[in-house]
Amino acid sequence: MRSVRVVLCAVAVLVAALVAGAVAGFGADVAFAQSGAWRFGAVLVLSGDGAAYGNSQREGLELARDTINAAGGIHGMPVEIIFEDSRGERTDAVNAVLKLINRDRVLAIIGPTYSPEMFAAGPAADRARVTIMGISTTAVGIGEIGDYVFRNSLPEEGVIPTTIRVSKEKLGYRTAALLYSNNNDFTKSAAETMERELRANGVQLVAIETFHDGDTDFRAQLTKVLQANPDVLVVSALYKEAALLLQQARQLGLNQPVVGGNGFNSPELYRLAGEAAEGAIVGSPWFPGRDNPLVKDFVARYQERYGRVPDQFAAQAYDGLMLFAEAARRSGNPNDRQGFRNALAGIRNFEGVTGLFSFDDHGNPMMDATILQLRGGEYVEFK
Amino acid sequence: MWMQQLINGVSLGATYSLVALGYTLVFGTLGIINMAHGEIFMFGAFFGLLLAETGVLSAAAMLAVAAGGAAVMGLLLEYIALRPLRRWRGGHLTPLISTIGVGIFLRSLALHLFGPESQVFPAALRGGNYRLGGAVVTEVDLVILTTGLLLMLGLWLLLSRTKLGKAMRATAENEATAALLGVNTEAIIAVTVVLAAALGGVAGALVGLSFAVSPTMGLPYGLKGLSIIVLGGMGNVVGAMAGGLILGFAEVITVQLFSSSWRDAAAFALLFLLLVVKPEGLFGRAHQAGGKA
Amino acid sequence: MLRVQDVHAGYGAVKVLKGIRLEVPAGKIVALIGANGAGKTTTLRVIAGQLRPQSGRVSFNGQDISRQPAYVRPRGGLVHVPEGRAILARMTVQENLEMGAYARGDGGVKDDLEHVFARFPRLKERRRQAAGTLSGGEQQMLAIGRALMARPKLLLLDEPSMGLAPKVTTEIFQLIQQINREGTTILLVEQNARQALRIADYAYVMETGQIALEGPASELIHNRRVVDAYLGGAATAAHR
Repeated sequence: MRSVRVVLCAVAVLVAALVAGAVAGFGADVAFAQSGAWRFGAVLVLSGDGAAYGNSQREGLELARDTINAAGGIHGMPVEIIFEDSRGERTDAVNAVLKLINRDRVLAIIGPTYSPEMFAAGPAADRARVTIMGISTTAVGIGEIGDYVFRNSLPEEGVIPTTIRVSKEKLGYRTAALLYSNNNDFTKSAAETMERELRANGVQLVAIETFHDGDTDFRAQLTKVLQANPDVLVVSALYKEAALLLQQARQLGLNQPVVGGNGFNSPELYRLAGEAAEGAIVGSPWFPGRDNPLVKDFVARYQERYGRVPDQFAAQAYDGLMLFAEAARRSGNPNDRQGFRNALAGIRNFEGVTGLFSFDDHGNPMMDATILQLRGGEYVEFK
Repeated sequence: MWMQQLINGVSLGATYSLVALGYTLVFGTLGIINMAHGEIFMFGAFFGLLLAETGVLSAAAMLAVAAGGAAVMGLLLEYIALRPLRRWRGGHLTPLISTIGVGIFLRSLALHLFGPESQVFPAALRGGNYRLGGAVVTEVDLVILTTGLLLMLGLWLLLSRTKLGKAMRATAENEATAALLGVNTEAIIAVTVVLAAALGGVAGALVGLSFAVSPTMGLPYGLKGLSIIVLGGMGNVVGAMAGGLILGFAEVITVQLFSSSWRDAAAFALLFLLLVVKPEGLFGRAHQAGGKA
Repeated sequence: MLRVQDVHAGYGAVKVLKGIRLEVPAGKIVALIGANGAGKTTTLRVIAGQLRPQSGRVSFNGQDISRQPAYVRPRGGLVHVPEGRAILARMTVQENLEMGAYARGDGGVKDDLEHVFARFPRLKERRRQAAGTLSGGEQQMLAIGRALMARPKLLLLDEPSMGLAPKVTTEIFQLIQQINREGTTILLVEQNARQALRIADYAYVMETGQIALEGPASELIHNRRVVDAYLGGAATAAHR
């Protein structure tokens, strides 16, 4: 019995190795012209609560790496990524970054996944003069940590100006009511940006109403908005509050167009609010349905390899490595950390799957968000 | 617009009252605050939702299932978390803490069973809207208000007119005396806890029907329910109903006249003022000497 | 009617009753007297079922009720009016009386209510008032009236005269005699030993958890030891 089991195991291992080889073979067939490699590190949340984010990021990075290597690498040298699991913990993130810098001698680092991790690990990389770039860190002040700290993830504050500008152009509203949850840092700071951008675009705010996360009845506020009769409702809330608010607004006869913050990016919004969410407008850093050959190609290849549509984390990770590749191409030397940093900082108007990309002086992204509209339960580009 | 705000105040207040009725019943009888009431309320909403998802689109059936399911939870609460502590004579703080524990457990259980997302009832069950002199009132609002008033009336009749109700009040006032009069106080307490849980279940199903159902929905309503029984007079049924409506109105009026960011602050300032002026609550009676032994 | 045999009872480690034995024959008034802390109230609590005896036996009409829960006992006609009256202060006078009939399953409650009101006209005047607003004497009447609503066969009365003015005390004792004449057996615990012995048929004297003395009340009232200790007869009399 025992020997049968051993044989079975051996067969299983062999089959697994063959399958893995077949998958990997796609990249391994290319002969590289030069010895040496572009060695990068990636610090991601690969286990624990945030593992779903980190694994999407890993997939995006692997797809980008294999795409680059299949095309002959950069200056004849392949790209390598050493993955480290931060488990979402700041100390693990710092340790992973130090290990990548000192032991693995990487050229630059992608990650970590969370902003608090970056606030701990970013200064460590900066002191060692090794470039580190966040691909999902959206807190204010990431690029400002140091010269070597970058990010390509557009924070909500970066999405809103486009959302307001584009929706104002298309809808031509002059007055607006702003409704937001004021006991949540994200929705509150987004609302402040909304207010600033609305005023900057010459829109008059005729009502500003607040509520709390967890509230369910917004009719008192909405009745007040009804009296102010604005041209548009601008809402910064998590999806649940946003959904209930939309339902009650439509119930009370508030049929104005609605422009929302990041909470409106969740498919949960339509599931909860149904028809009341129809026509809602929201900006997003990533839209897999965009009519663009680069995006279509990326989505198709990702879907083929992983069996699902890439989410924001995968897309920003993919663009992140592509940005590193561009910097590598420009600097030309896989051992010159300083040269790599300067090349990266100089990137302007880089075309990625998430859009046309530039770094500002601090290493934060400058790019346009895609403006979406809910139509029949699907997000489509708002035109 | 005042008409609309009036309707807003009544429908908001009616949901608060529904939650407060169950609280006040348990407090009135046991002298303890059932911190798990909000979670039983939440489970009531899920019981109703589960029924609706099987395709049974009847509000009455939904309320019956929510009440029944919550009643069973009330029975478990009594046997697992309350009765053993009474035997042990831990004082009033122990059941408070044990019900907090039950509440946390139920919330985690709901997260595990139903996931963290909010869910809504099928639109068919929610009914339509009515127009009332330029203002809008939903069918669900009317159901909530009527149910609230009927339950209040029913509870009031039960407590003041029936033998069971009088036994409940006697048990509330003094268990030892009630027992001497022939009242099986343990059974009366169990009946009270079960009844309060059933009320909580009905409240949860109605609030869930009106808004959304999620594992955390019990927390804010539990907190509001607590302040209402303080406002209306601890253990007083009419006070719970009136207190809920008053709190609902106070919130709506604050939003209309001042600012929505003052909504909760104003409501609780009202509560505070009232307690300074009338510490026993609106409908409460000052405690007599020789009340609870 | 009631027989208490060798009952030991107490609270936790504190032993209060150390082998009590007493009997209450049907139709009589039996008094239980003694100093503060002798165990009189505890004895009644054991008989009423509020305290489980550690050993010994309580039988009522020949049936062992030692293990019966307190709330079952009124159904058999064993009704206890505890010390401090234990009226339900937040309920009305009439509700208190109605609660008195809680254990009864028959339909004569309305008539009995009228009887009680006839006996205590002041309660009738205040029937809708919260019981807590009554005076001490009225509360005692309410407590006794409520006990009568249960149609008791044996009535346990714990210190019915406590805290009452002398005139009211006299009224209460007359009332007890009257109830007894109407057929209810009474076990009376009293600090006011003189009045108790005056109306009782038989009496027990308790000292530190035991029965120290017993006999017909008419004899005990002249007993030297009783007179000295409980009736304030001698200059040296002191409450122990």
